[in-house]
Amino acid sequence: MRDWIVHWTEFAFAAATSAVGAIGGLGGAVLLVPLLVLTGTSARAAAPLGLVSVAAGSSAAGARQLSHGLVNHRIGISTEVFASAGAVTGALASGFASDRLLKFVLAGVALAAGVLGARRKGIRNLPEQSLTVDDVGEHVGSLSGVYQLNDGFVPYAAKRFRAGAALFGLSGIIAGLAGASGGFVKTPASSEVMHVPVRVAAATTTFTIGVTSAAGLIVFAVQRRLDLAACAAVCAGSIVGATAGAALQSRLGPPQVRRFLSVALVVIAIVLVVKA
Amino acid sequence: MSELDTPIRGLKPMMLVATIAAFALAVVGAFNRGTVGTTAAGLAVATIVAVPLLRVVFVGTHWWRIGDRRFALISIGLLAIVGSGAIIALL
Repeated sequence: MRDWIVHWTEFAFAAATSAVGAIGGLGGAVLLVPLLVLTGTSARAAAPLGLVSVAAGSSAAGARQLSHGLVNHRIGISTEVFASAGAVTGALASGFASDRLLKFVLAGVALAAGVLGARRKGIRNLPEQSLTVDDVGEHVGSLSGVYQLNDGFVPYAAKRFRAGAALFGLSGIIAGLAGASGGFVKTPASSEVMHVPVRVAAATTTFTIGVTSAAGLIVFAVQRRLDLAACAAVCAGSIVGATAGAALQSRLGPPQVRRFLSVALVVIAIVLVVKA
Repeated sequence: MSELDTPIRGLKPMMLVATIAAFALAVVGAFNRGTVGTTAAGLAVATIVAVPLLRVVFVGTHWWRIGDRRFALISIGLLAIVGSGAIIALL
């Protein structure tokens, strides 16, 4: 009976955080993992559940985003090489870290996500009149493409790849250590450092966080750190939440949700530090 | 202007089917005890781990077919990094 209550709670937490995370564009794991830790799960056990939530949310949103031509797979895979290497390193290191240290890392991650989420900027690249709907997509052999913005079509090309790649490596380490997606680092790294438009950066990040979490989860599975029933509850909840959140995103105001999320994350960070 | 890439055949249906399968398996795995529940939960986790990696395989194969060898090799490198994590964890 107690197991049922625990799994329903995990399901409900995963659904709620994935929905709010999808609406706010930060991902749900950065909320889910601290919530699980604050309600009694150890940081060591919560990290794999966070990655399950990320992978499930990434899969649920992926098919929908493919239709809009927003994902740039070349940018995603080129930067993901560094993020996955970071995730493997972080997941291996987390096996040796104390629960107290992981709580401090998690608090730092929640604080950084809150601050970066609130600071996210709007549109940088502008539409070009000569482009049409037939030009939408990514270009062969380069880190560039065209995406649709309202009635216009905007060309873009990734810049400062090395600086972006370094930040992707950092986001991978965060994912492996703390179980958060690292998307709150990846999207700003793509848009603010590499000058990829925010919408393309966010859609590409949704794809790449799935790969990062897969890399971390494989390490956790080999180390036998997965509670399969809990993983299943989080997986089901995250798919429901991410699907509902993506559908609600167009009706609600993401900036307002992001502000709420930012405040919530700062509060969570403070509580985690106090409890550690 | 650079050449526009074509859509990747079969990728979207694969992702849709896999996500629905992962959800169904996860529900069975979360709320059933015994071997059936454990097996379903394990398969659900395996499916959501496999989806992004299969996506990299689909994309890399597509790039190899259209002659974009540099990016096809980068996708192979990415899969090698993910695989190396498992090997290192086993040691």
